Amino acid sequence: MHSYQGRVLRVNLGENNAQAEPLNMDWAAQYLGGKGLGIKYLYEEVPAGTDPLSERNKLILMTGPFTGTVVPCSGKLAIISRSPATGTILDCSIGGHFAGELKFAGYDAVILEGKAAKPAYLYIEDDEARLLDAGELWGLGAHRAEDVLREKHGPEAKALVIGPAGENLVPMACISSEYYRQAGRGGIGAVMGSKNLKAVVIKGAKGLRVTNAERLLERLQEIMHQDTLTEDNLWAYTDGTPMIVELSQTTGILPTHNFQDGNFPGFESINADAIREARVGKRACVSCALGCGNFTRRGASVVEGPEYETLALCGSNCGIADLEAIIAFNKACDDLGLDTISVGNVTALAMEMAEKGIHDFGLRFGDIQSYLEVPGKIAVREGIGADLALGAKGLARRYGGEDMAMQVKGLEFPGYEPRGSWSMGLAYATSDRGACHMRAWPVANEAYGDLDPFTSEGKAQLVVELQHYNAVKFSTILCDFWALSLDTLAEILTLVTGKTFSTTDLEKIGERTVNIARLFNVREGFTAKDDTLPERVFKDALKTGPTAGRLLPRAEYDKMLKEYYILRGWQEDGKPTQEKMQELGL
Amino acid sequence: MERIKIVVTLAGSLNKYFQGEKVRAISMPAKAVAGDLLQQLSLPRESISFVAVNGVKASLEQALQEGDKVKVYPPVSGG
Repeated sequence: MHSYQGRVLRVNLGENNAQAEPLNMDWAAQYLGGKGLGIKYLYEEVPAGTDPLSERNKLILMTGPFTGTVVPCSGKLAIISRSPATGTILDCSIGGHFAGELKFAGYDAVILEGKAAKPAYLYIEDDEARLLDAGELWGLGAHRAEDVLREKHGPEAKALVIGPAGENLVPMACISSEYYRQAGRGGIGAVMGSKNLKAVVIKGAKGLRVTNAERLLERLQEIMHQDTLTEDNLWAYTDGTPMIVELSQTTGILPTHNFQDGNFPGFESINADAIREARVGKRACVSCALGCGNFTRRGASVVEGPEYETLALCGSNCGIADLEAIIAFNKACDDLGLDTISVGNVTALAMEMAEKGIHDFGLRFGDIQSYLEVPGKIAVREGIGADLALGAKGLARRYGGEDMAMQVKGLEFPGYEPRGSWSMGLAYATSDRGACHMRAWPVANEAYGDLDPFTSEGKAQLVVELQHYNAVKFSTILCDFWALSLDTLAEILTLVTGKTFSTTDLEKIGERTVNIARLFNVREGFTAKDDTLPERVFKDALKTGPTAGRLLPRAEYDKMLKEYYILRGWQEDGKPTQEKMQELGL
Repeated sequence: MERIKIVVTLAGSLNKYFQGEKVRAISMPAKAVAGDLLQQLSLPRESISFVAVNGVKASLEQALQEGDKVKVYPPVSGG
């Protein structure tokens, strides 16, 4: 298949050895790239029971068939490992320019194994790969570390870096690129830290081939006008994700005070209008026609963001309506290398624990001063940071309050209240990496769309279809914002690779990817009992606003889950049936 | 025929239907519903995700009242 470089760079950090090897093209045909292909490699290479922070775990950087081509919105890189936060499979995606550069260096993927003897960074320039000393970088924030690397290797070098949180193995540490782009969730940065790897720097000067460049360019021009520069997508440019603050507020699903409510009276201070007033610039990833990034400034704080998830988890969920404080919190998390979703979520839990008299961490809803100290403490596990670094599940396990720890399988909820969007509850519970909004985002059809959010009817089917679709999207890899039909995706993929793909092929690839992720988790001991939600969702009604009085009745949830397993061809214990595995060639 | 006045905000890129303006006061027939507003603005149903009336998501059948604040949101993807 064209557009693949056909090569993987395998780096053993402990042995300081880097070797190129052929990409498994049979697997590429079955999983495309990105999420799917990365999970396939990890499933085959990392044995069950591997400690995520041990040198036996691997970190896989995977591109896709669209990476480096003219296909718009194809600039993301998938990073795959076993999660130290959840123990599940973990795939994250990160924007910026690194993925394209990796492809131009002549590789589809990099597999990082073992552990460097001392802090190091990996430098890749085309066929040359070297492990260099990172003694002077260790301990630096992600922003400064990236500055130093750029000064040393030139502005064209692209880097993935971790901050102090990753070095300190915090299970909510992320990997950053270009300061403000993050592979955020599940502690992927801690895996990198566990390998004594501060950064990966890359420069590439090679080309790559697509099968039918002329027709591809023609079709992309048409698609740009028909499917890209349209109202469905241009909101990403005019407003970006802060638009979602009001969508959630008006539908009663904006997480407020640790998900005690879905209605935040201060929402107008953190909505898209507030962000636009604070905006000082825009930014796009490589090959992107939409440019969703907003640079904002309030007082002394400047950041690219805050995105919706940060506004929701670090804003309304912590009772913070002060945009300057949220920008400062966001900036601190980015520099320290922390996931704002998990940090905001666990901070709000600690605030509620104080409110309920479970334990006083000195944090209160709406108290800015103590709130701003949290990221710095978590990143170095100092004072209350040592406890909060346990994550919501670990914190509640230590002090109590497990019913109100808003997480699934150890991954903290993102910014959508499932009592006001029942299918989102099912999506969180069945997501391969714990509570995640990027495996399926049914709120768009339900709370923000035409479907009734308060019925279980048809929701299992909706979540299954969206999970398949997103598995394909994150395997090709396209940005989450570009919602092309599978028909169009199949057509572009055919023009790019020269192999004929149909819509049915892509549906099958999506299903295969979901199932291999499931098999990974089953092998690690996860069962149907883990596909659940915190008790709060089932028994505590929301208090005010459009969803006042709403909860997700357990019987309705159980009904959705049962239907979901049947549609998936999974047993009652959540394991894929033999027939399903055979059907998918697993 | 009796008429009511409502204040309409078009979020994001939808403001092209107001020639770049974001907010306008609109006069509607007294018995108008939210769906009638879309028709009056020539705003196709598929170009919006939903309409909120006075800060709460509303159905397109919801009757509009004098002084209502209506906001129309474009479809969104991702998250």
